[in-house]
Amino acid sequence: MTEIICVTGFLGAGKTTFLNKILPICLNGRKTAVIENDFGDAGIDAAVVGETGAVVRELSSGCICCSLKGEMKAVLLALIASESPDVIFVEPSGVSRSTDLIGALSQMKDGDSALSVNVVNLVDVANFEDYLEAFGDFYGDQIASAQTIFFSHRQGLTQEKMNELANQISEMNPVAACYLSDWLEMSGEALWELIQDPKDFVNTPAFSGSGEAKSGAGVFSSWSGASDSRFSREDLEAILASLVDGQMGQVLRAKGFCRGEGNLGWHFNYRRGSVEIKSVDAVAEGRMLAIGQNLNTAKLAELFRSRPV
Amino acid sequence: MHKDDQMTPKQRMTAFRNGQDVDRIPIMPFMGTISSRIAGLNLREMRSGPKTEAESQLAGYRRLGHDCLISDYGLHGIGIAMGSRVNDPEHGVIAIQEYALDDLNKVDQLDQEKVRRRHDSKLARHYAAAEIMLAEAGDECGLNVNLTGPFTAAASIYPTEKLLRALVRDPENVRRLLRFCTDCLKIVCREYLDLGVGFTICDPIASGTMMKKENYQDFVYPYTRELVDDLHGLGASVGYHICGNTAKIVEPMVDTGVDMLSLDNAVDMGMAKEKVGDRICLVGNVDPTGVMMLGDGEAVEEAVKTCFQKTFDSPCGFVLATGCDVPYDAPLENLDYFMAAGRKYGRWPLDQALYA
Repeated sequence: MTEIICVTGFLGAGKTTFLNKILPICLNGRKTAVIENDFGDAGIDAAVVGETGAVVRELSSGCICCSLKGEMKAVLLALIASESPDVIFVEPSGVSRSTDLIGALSQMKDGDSALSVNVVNLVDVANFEDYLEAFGDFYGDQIASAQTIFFSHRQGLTQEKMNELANQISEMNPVAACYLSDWLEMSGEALWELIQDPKDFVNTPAFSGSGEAKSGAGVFSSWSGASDSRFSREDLEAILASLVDGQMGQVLRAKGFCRGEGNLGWHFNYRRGSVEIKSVDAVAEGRMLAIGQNLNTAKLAELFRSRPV
Repeated sequence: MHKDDQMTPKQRMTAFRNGQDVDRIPIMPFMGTISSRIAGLNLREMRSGPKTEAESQLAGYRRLGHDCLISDYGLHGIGIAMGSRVNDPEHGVIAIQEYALDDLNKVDQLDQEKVRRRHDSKLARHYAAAEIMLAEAGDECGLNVNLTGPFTAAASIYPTEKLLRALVRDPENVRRLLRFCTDCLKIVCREYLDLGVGFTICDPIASGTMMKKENYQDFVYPYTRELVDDLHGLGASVGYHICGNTAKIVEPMVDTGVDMLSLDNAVDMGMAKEKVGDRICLVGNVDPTGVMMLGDGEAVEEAVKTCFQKTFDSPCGFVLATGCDVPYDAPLENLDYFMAAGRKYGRWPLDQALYA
């Protein structure tokens, strides 16, 4: 089934930067396409497209309100028919209402099944209050319709101000996973993880009483490392078990590959306390990733005997 | 005259405006693009010259017998005259590829003379098409020029998102651009004037979906009011359509002085009747995509009936229309269903029992 990921946000919120960051990751074994709206800013990097082989289509809606549904449908269905991509990123115009977009997408089918639609919203928090005051309902609608919200242009905002904005935004959308840390500093892998299962990052015990943001919103950060060290299954089990006790911070998700003994390698997946370890073919270099709150990155690095990526 | 009618659109509209009896309520589906398919043309062919442009509208009129022919100056008209570059898709409406203005500080470098017919080949084409339409059907049907309001005109010169952002960051330059666009629009209207046409101001970017009421009051209302006053001074009638949800701005929209208020399907006609029905004739508002494109005959009839249920008793009258332009890909039969339902439910005198 084709997964649709809509990356929404007003001009300057970083939609294209986000796509440039996540596309190479997403393409890891998946057939990926991008639908861009020509009302938006400059398109995704030609270099990224070239390297990744992603298929790019442009929407050229003349009237923002009317032709969206018709043209979106035509472009999307043609894409699915000709390329059968696993993932389609849709970068709509920065002034489009996500509700309309989701409505249009939800009427379409991939074979017999409905399309799975995931909405990521990027909020330029430096201008959030001005935009909210000046713009019509498309702006709030983009926030209210998202499953994951990332904050852009956080530089220069005090923690107090950030919390105030986070509270306001999470009131507008209490069910979204709201990522307050600087997503530009996150790895593409971490971004991909975050948007994959946003529900994992909402209303978890890790957020209650954090005092940093009300309702469902939480402050996430991520850590990535690379390691040449070899681990036995027991080593790995012990490491992952230690993620539960809070010493590493509140780890919600950890995954990666690491080198095992001899020709073996391991693929591991840690998800809110449950652990999965699979043996894989030899791994040249271990790569690991953790997402959570108040991560103790020094301790994580020590645990995996890793160096920064 | 259409076989199912007893009056020509011209007779009907005159009687309707004067509060006299008509054979049926006026019906005005937005036929800007889909009429080309009735003429067997694609959109690029329709745009290729005055003859095909006129033939599209006339073919639509012959088939449907609706109440106005359109000369579509277009959402990007002012921008194109200023140098914005557009594409020319075979089956789509044109979209701007490159904007005439990249810096709001350069508004003073724009030249309003460029919108005149002698400088703008596109306006010359629309004008010639209007002449053909009027020669062919002008004795029985009026012609309306669709043009933008000043704000959407500004968005055809300078990109929409940057324009909206400038409301916050650079309002003074936005006002200078709007001043310029208002003056341009007055010139364009005068270029059409000797044809005896009416005007419909379409202002999608001024929608409540795009901006708050306060910004509408500040950046849209004064310029639109000025344009409407100017057109009234020239003896022309003015309709007004804004796409999207305009629920919060219907009152100031009516304050602009326009003669008819056309509402997008995002607006509840009952609400509009309550708020402004005693001040202005309401036009609306069958869903162009959900119903006209994706629905069947039954859905079209049901949607038309709902419009009548909500608006038949609006004090200043009601005109059946679509909520915006009927998509190019909509089934043509749905236009026939739309007209048939309009004739059924809009037969004069209106029969409330039909809407129960």
